[in-house]
Amino acid sequence: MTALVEATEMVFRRPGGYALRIPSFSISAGEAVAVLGASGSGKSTLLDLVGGVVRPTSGSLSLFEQSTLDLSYRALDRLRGENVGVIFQEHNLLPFATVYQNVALGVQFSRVRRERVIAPSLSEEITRLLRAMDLDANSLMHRPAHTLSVGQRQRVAAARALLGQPPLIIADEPTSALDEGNQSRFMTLLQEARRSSGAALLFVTHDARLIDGFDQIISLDDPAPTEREDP
Amino acid sequence: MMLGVTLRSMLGRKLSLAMTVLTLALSVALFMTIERLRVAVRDSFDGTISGVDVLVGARGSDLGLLLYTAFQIGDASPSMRWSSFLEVEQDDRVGWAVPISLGDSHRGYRVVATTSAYFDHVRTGRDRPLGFTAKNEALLNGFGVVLGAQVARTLGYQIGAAITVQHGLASAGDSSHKHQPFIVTGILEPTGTPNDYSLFVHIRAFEAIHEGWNGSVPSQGPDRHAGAEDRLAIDLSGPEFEPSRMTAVYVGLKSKRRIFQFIEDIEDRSRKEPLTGVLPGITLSHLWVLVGSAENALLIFSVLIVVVALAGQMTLLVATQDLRRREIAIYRAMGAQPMTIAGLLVTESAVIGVVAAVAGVVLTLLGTWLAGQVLGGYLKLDLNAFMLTTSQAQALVAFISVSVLAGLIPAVMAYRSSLQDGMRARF
Ligand SMILES: Nc1ncnc2c1ncn2[C@@H]1O[C@H](COP(=O)(O)OP(=O)(O)OP(=O)(O)O)[C@@H](O)[C@H]1O
Ligand SMILES: [Mg+2]
Repeated sequence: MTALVEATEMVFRRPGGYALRIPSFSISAGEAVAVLGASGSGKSTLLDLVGGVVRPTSGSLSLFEQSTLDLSYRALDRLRGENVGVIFQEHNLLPFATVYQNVALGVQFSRVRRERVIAPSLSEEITRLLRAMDLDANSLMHRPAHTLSVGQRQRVAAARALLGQPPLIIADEPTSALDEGNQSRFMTLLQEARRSSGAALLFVTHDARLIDGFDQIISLDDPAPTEREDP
Repeated sequence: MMLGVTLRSMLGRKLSLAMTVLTLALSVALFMTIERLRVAVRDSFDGTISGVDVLVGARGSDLGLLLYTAFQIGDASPSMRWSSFLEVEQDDRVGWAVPISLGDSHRGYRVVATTSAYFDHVRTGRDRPLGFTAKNEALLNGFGVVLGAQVARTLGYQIGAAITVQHGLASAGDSSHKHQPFIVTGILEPTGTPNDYSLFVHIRAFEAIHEGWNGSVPSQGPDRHAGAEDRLAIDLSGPEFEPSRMTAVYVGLKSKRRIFQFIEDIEDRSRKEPLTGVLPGITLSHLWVLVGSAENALLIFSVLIVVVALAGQMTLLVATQDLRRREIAIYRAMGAQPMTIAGLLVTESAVIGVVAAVAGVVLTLLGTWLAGQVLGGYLKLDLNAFMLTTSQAQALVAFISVSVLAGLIPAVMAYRSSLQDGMRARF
């Protein structure tokens, strides 16, 4: 199996003195990886690195078999657009845009990803993905996103992350605003959908109860991978 | 699709955007209406007597004579002798000479006493001859009167109508030549010049009614009770109808090269009656120099108003920028380049600019139409409302460009903050 993400001796420093160290880390195709850690431990920072928004200060990180050292930020943006579906903790959707527009946004900035849409048409694929996330596509499709419940919004965001078959989905605590019942429902739906599309998942949470069914668990609280430096 | 998203995003901010667009549109309309009026005034003035080489009148101010004779502005000029007209007419260098006598009116419209040669030689606009929308052969024979387009339209006169003229320009009063009706024999095509607001009678008929009015030769005067046909057939060629004084002469020279020599001779102090020769184009250009600074001040003001409105647009875009960082973070997460995001914001400004420009044009047409209604008759302008001048079109293009440029500032801000924020909007 080829690794989608591979890091060795990766260090990322922020100007303020914060540093994230990851000696060794990789995500294989189709793998589900959970990242645990307390607030401020660097979970979101790790997603920034994997998403290609920032580059490691030292050490190596390769994304989709390309070393980030060799890539411009422009190329990193393109790589993310093509290969990574993103789900945030909140504010995933453009409130003024329709559900359809919000999902379609997933393939808006990458031609490669748009061409990977498998169903006969974009709207059919969006319908399929909304249904996979247990949403009533017909009634929701053309509603503005701000009229949706929080749980619905997160599932729409998941549908968008899956659109265009990206090999990797990164999710930054997408369930933290949901109640317990909704949390497990969201996890189940997301896992099922990404498994059937073959996407790997990098899932950040500080809630250890959610890590059932993950292939690999990285804990950033562990003093081994991270440490704090005083300036 | 991104256009759809952008439009929805703008729809979500419709109130503030609508205010901005309205401000922009009003400023554009103000500017363009002023510009339109400026151009219309100039075109109208420059085009009023474009076929006339020299305007000859009694000794006095060039501008005063020109404004009074051709544009009905200012005080009556002193009159010149008929004999002087005959001298001018007989000058070798003169191709044609048309006498003009002013002073009477019909329901507020000026009566121009002249000869039929007026219609042959006076040009308007860019050398366009005067045309008729309706006429019968009599024209200025006898007591025939030809109406300017606007006069015919507003007063609803048609060929054959009998009208009376009045002494002076007052629209009321009893000093009318009631017993000497004129018969409408022609209606001119619209020209966008004072011609539209004038009535034309023969200078001899004009003389005849004034004789009658003076009461000096009533018995010899033409039959007051003649019918329409008869009034056109009245023979006014007798010496008793030769005017003694008149206002001015429109002159066309055989060769323009001798124009200055001709004027010098006309103005020669040793003549029996020294006259004034006016070159309409040159005298008008002096006028434009005089009014130019006022015009410029007005234009600068209206440009400043547009600038203020554009600053308002920029303020709005910058102020809402913080609120849009989430939106931008989402685009970034989907792989959008910072440049793409900057492009989206510029597109938005362009949309605002274009919508404001279109709304501005609509308001301008409305404004021009209103100005035409209110000022048209007063300034004797032809404000064709549904037309944009080149200078207006240029101004529009400039406006849209600046409006797009105004969008560059928030776009650059967005570019920077999106580099900083990455996929996460931080606030
Ligand atoms: N843009 C930034 N500039 C400076 N420091 C930052 C920036 N973003 C994050 N940090 C710092 O980096 C560290 C890690 O932040 P990060 O957001 O990765 O934590 P996290 O594990 O995601 O926390 P949480 O669970 O609260 O989301 C924190 O100390 C934070 O203050
Ligand atoms: Mg975080």
